Amino acid sequence: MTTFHKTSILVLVALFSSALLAVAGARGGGGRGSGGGNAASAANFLARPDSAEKAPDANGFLQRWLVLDPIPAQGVTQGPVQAAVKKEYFPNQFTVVPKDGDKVTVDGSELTWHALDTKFYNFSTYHFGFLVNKPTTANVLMWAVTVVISPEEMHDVRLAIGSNDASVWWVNGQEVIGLYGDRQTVVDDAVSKRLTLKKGPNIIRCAIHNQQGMTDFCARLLDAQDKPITGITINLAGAGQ
Amino acid sequence: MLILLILRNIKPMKFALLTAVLALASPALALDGLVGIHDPATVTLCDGKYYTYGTGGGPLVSDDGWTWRRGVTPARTGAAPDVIHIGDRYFMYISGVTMISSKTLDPNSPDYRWEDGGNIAGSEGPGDFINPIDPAALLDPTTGKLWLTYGSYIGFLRLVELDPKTGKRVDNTYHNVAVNCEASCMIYHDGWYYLLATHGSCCRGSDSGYNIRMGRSKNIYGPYLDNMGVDMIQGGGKMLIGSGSRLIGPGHFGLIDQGDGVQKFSFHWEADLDRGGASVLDIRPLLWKDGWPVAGETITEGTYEIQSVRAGTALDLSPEGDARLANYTRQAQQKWAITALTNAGGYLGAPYFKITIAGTDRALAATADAKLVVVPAFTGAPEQLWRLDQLADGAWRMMPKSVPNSKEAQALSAGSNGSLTLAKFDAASDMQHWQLPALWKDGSPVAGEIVRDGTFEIESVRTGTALELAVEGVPVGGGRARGMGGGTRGGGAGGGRGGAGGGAAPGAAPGAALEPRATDEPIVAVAAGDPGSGAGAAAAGGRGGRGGGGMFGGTGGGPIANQEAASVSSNWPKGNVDIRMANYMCQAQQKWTITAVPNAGDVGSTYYKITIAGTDRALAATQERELVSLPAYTGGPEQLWRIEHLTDGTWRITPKSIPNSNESLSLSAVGSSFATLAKFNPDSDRQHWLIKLP
Repeated sequence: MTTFHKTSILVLVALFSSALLAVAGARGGGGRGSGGGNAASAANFLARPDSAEKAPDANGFLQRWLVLDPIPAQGVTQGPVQAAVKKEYFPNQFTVVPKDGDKVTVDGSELTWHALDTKFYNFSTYHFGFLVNKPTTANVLMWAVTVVISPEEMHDVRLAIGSNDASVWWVNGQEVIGLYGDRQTVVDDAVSKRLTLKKGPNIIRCAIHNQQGMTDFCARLLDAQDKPITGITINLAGAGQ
Repeated sequence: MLILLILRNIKPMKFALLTAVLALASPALALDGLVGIHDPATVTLCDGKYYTYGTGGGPLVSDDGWTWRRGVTPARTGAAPDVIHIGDRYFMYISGVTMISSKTLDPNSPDYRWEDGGNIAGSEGPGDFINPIDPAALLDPTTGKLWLTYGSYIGFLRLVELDPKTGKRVDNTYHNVAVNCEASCMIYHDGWYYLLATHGSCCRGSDSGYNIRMGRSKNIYGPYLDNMGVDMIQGGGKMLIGSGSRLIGPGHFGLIDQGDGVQKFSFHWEADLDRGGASVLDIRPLLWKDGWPVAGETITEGTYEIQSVRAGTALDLSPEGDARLANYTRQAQQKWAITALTNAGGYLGAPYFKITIAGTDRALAATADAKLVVVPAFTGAPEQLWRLDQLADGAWRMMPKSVPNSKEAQALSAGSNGSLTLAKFDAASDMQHWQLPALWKDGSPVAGEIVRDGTFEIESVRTGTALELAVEGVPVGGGRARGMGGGTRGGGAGGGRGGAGGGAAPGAAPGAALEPRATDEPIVAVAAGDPGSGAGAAAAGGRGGRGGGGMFGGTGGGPIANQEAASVSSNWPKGNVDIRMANYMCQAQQKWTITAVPNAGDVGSTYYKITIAGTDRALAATQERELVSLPAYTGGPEQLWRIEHLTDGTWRITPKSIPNSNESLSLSAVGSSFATLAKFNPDSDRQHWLIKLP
């Protein structure tokens, strides 16, 4: 840098101060206008499953999930997210594979599990909020689970995910990914260490923590050559619970 | 970014690490004057002045492209405008998307009047899903068609065709081209369309992860694939520029084609730590390599050999006092100090430089008869001021500010007979192309003379993200919640919701000002009114606010100190800690000290330990073929790393051995946020790394 006078700083300060108020206002109306969502637009993204089994899409993305109504939560950095997901909200939260419509009580509120297919590579938890009429655009934690049926034992597999915002992921009960901060969903943003898929059902669970605005996630499994695995199926009843 | 200088004197590979990284030792030059802006429109030349406009108006103007001042707020303000000049009109597209146009950007011109172009794009019907922000226009040089991209993290980035005569839509068709990014911009180059867009989060000061990425397509409609073949509609994107060197969060690319093979790009940094973390404008050279844009660098001060690309010979001082070309023999009269000048003006993106024999005040100067001389002392005369533009191939064009008794711009040129002269620049010839191998930077010789260990960012070429310890990061200078940090909110006249500039200028329609927005927040399409002339000056006093600088203004204070591990590591786990990758944010857990370990390798090979700077916490390979950081370096072979310079200037980083394995695996990016060990594949960039000064 050559010169940068103190007056420059002062002008910068003045210039941008009013932006604060503006953004706060925009946040308050989240979901409005042309960019906003509603139940009708949610139907463009999410649908009830119409079959017992579903294959991943051509790029390996897992498109069927059981998602629980949102739970209030604060903070998307590593510490607050880890604390949030370690709290017990409902019984067996790290092992249960619920059925569509199952209910749990969290902090006195009755929450419902919803089985849904996404029509895209990503699952829009933003539109999920409109679908269940429970906003997901600010300070919420959403639990989701799916069951992948593997035709054989597979080694050196990686779970590859993206999420908006933070998320924590488990495969067969083992925590394999933590992704933190205010971020957008990017395909294969976070990738687990090498793991083994069992022959038969494998439970993939996640907790998505959205701080503000848009929220979604995507997930697929990669083989030892980092290629998407498509030779598996999703069967939410496949875990036999 | 790593400067890939041609280091003519590179010798053993172990020295190459030092040479490449030391090329960054001098801090990059930052634009001068008032440069606070967020989401800048492509810098546009109009009647001899450069203009750009940011979110909330945020106008900046410059006479030379180096020193900037506040401009006049346009008739309609909003988020992230873009400007394109077509024919006799300047079209400004504003998030929403709306358009206004004027015959000039010069508020002092009688032709300065913004006319309303109405709504251009937004929702395309019930259930459509788009956040119509961050518009940017491309005039296709091959077809004459005008295109507009816009969009953000909600929904798709979208492409629509406009009428170049009116700037309005030609029909209702649209094409989705990307997801999970914003601040897009398209450019055309050599048969390809390039879609550049900004990934990551904005508006959090030094905690912003903005970075500029790109894909390309032969077809304007896409698919836009990155260098690994990943479609941008699935989140793909090759990195153009990310954070580094105390500058965090580049975003909002805009191409400035100056002709003659000189291209630059405008963008903003979310946080310049030397300016209190404020969001600022920057302009860099745009280079091309293997069919992809590469972010160049404004030249840094230092001592250089000035080498003719054409002749291979070096600029030299003759006994008669003339400048000439001669074989480079490391003699004193061949070493040139390039020094940025203050208060001497500049050109687009850089100040003028003086070029003197190192250790003297003897200055290179142009003469009236198109020759080069070395005058006894630098006087500041215009023929001693030099403009250094990096060309598309990475070489440099060197032009005096002026040549005595001449109005023609001329460039330093190697004659076909080995002579040295000044000549009109010819982009198709290499006679005016110069390489500047650095010889000295920051008091240390460069080019393989001394091995010096150091502290670096280790960045994946593939993902642009940096290797880090998996601990909770602390933003440099403290946390800044987006839209919540900073000091007291507005309150001054003209403050409030209108954004910078106090809302629309006089003459604008009520409600025409569009609010700054959060990265993934939908916005409301603005109602287009009669923008009027918009002649109101953007007086700083009308913006209100004090104390901190708000979302984009930084701390309002001076430089923010570097973050050291000692200040943030008290909560780090004491045992083994995982390794991951993240956007580089100048944080302590992202800074690695690389230290040669004597007698650790076979004859002819050097191994290094790689530790978190300020700690003994060491990077190590695990028997699972993954990475971990150990609490302390113990000298095990899994903690020793071979660091090899690849032919493209990047680095391969390989552990000496992996526990219980005979495989040779190298550090590899898998996804943006995770690194592992994998077999080196020369056709992939997953195992290619940049080692950059932090």
